[in-house]
Amino acid sequence: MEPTLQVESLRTYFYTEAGVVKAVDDVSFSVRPSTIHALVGESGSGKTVTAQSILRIVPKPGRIVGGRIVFEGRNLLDLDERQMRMVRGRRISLIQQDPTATLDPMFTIQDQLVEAIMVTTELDREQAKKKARKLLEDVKIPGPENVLKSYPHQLSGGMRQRVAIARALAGNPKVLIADEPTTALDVTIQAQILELMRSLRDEYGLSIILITHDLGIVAQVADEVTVMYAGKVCESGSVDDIFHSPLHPYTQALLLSVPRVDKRIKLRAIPGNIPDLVQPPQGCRFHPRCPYAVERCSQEEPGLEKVGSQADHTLPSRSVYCHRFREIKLEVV
Amino acid sequence: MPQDILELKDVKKYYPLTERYTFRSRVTAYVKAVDGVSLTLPEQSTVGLVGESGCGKTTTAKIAAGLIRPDSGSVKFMGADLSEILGDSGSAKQFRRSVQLVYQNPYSSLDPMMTVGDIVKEPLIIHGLARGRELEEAMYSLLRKVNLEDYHALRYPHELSGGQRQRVCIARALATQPKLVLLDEPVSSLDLSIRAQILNLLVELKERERLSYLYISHDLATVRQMCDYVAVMYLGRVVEYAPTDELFNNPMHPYTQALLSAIPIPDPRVKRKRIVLEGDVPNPVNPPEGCRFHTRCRYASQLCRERDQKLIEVGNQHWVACWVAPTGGIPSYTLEYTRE
Amino acid sequence: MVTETVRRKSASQFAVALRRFRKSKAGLVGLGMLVFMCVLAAIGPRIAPYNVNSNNLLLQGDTDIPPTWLKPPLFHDWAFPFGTTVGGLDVFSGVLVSLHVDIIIGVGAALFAMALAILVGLVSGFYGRVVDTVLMRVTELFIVFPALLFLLLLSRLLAGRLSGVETLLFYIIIIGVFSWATNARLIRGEVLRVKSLEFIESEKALGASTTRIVFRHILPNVLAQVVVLTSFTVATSILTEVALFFLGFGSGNILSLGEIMYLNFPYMDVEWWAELFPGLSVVILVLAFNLLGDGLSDALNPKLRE
Repeated sequence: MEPTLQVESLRTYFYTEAGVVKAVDDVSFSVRPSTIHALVGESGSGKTVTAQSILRIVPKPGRIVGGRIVFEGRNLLDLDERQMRMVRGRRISLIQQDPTATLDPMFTIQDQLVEAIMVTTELDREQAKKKARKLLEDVKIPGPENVLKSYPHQLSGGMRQRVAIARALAGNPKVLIADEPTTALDVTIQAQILELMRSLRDEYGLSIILITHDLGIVAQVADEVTVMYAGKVCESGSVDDIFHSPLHPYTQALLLSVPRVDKRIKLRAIPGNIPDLVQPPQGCRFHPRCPYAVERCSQEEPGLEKVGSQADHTLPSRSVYCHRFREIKLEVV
Repeated sequence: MPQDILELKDVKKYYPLTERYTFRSRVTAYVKAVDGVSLTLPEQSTVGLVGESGCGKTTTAKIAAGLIRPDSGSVKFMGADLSEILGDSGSAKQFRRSVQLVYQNPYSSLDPMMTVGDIVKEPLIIHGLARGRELEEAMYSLLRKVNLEDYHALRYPHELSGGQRQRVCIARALATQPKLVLLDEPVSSLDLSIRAQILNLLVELKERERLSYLYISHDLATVRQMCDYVAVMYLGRVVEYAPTDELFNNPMHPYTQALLSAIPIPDPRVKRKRIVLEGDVPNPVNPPEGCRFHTRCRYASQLCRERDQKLIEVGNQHWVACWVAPTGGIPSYTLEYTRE
Repeated sequence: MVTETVRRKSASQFAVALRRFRKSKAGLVGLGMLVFMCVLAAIGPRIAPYNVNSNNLLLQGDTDIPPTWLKPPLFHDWAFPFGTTVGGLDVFSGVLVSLHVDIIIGVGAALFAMALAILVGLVSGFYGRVVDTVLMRVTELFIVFPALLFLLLLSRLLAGRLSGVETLLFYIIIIGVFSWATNARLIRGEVLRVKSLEFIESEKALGASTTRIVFRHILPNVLAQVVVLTSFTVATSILTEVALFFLGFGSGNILSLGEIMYLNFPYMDVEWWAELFPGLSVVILVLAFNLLGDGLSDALNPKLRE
């Protein structure tokens, strides 16, 4: 099975007054069809910038300086702006954390959906109206007629996010990028939205790149995971692999430090702080906080190590960036 | 018997919504932010106040801290009525020394124009607890208590990371040697890898400084780690209250069960019965008649639609505000592991 | 192993702002112009080649200067770089000698206005409710009032009777009285913004008294806005003063650029340069303060605060 989207050695740097911020530095991962692929990381990990790079909407002073993003047989980084516009919203869509900011308070839901549909498809206004209604049904909004006539401020947070998702689906995209879609929502509403994403994956074969910092969400909803730290990838693999047999010390450290609702655990804090991206640590960016670090880790950046059989494309690719992953035995909760 | 450090009885706080006309204004409705909350905090324990947005937990905490005056009900701090304490300037100042707050956003709760050293010294200066050499010493000792270095005293808040700023907030809160610290989502705005540092620090400090904590959060996972007792709030009321393990192992109120089923667990193995709550959180302006939760409750009976229920004790220190639960009409809820 | 990035540069808000100011082209240009003008104003009366005072500006002429008629400016006679008037007076000297008056009045009025504005803004914003309503209505009265007309009236009625220094003070006060109101409103807005920041509530929880909160916490955080406003207020005060004098309502016993422009105005078609150079000086002065204000605004802009 060919991956739907493949990111290869992506580099996106920000040229600021304080220096060059290597926000995304040699990031690679692939997203398979009908899969929810989570990009997990804390602040500064580069996950949002990665999403922006895929859609090529990186704000100044940022610039994509290297790598390839392969989608539908083309390298997205080679396309000109006009071609990119055909991709955005139509083949790859984006929803963000705060639906209030992405929905225009001046227009009804119907107006906004119809506009999105007409911009991304060949439908005329009447057809678009019908499709708008169908989209609202697809995202399981009860009472779609009323919602169509409403304005964003009349809807609750959860509803607005569903509308945002509906709008993102207007152009029948193959990939949906969701950047922290539930962070601003209550936990009971969050569960509904995550459930919705799962059904979208199943019913439409949609690939979803889910960007989050919440390990719980990843465990519940993701199929595959890429763990990022300070602009680099730590490891990639299926959700079971990552949670039950992690290969990278950062992943382990995170899993041991995160409180859980199902049992009380002794929280093992990770010492230190997230590094400054203008002057990141030499060698492996995690080494100052890593309990297994040796001299090599402070001098040489770890490269990509693929694990397991690569011939079988029905399995997700398992990879890790760590010098010592073969030697160290990681414990799990 | 250990004294209860804090006791809230039937506390209410309504915010009026007024329509203003030229020469008069009319109250059209009330936002019932806190609608009859009763709570006790035993000395040197941690009580968690959990709920989603709009449930009134932050308002309750601020009432307990004496920052908001309740419309009715009583608040007692160490047995003494809070409104009396605050009425007298002497005891009011004493109260401010004994009860401190740590806020969710460590940046906006610090004055950006002051250095860390100044910030930590501030409470000592306000209460005249030290001066000159002693003041400096006290400040450095506080910094060390929260694992900050001496040189941090010269820094400004914007130079520190989120975790460090939160440590400054904690140091400041400890300056007056309080008895009770109210923690409002203290780690929600911090990065994952930092949270454990702060949580462990809080636990350590509680032991060393003999503190009591009121821990407010929407994150049940951290509540499970930190708290001895948990109160679950919904629309301005406490709907369930129990010791932590009891609450999580045997949740009785349907809302608590739904909450537990909704919270994602960082372990793909754990399978749970998913209880999907229909609809959205109702508006605190016009809460439903009868039991507030009945509109989203699958076990709602006629009684639930008509009459509101107060907390009743159903087990070992376990209280529920529900008509159906005590009769055993609600199936129990547990988190099961399925091993592959 | 725990490491921490150590910042080497000082990071007080003041130092940060200073650094940002240095990057602001507008600010630096404004500051340069201002310094130049101030130096000129300070030494002006001493280096002016000819004695000019309000008496000899009147058409009576003066024996200090050889009677030169209609000497074109520049390139023709370096002794009179800005040309001379019909009455035989050196425009250059006139400008040099009067510059400091405008600056003094402008800065003085602005400081007076800002002092009032801070007081009203702080009290109104912090205490709110009745006090706020009352003070804001008073403020509105001052904003709505046709200030210039009133200034003209006051000036005509009272100014003539005062001595030189008293006159300066007089103008400082009356111009200040009509420019505090708008600033008060703006400062109040800023006070409201700061008041709602979480750290103010945490100060209350610490037990800080109201006075302490207002002066130790709100005021320093409002200062940024105040500094910017002051600069702009100087600019408008100078313009007001020039308008006042130019319209002929000056007191007659102090010489400002506005006064020179008033006296030379009737002869504009004949000797336009006598009007031009004082006018240009006003423009440069006002521009300097405006640019400085822009630079300060860039430097202190809260959006850029980390």
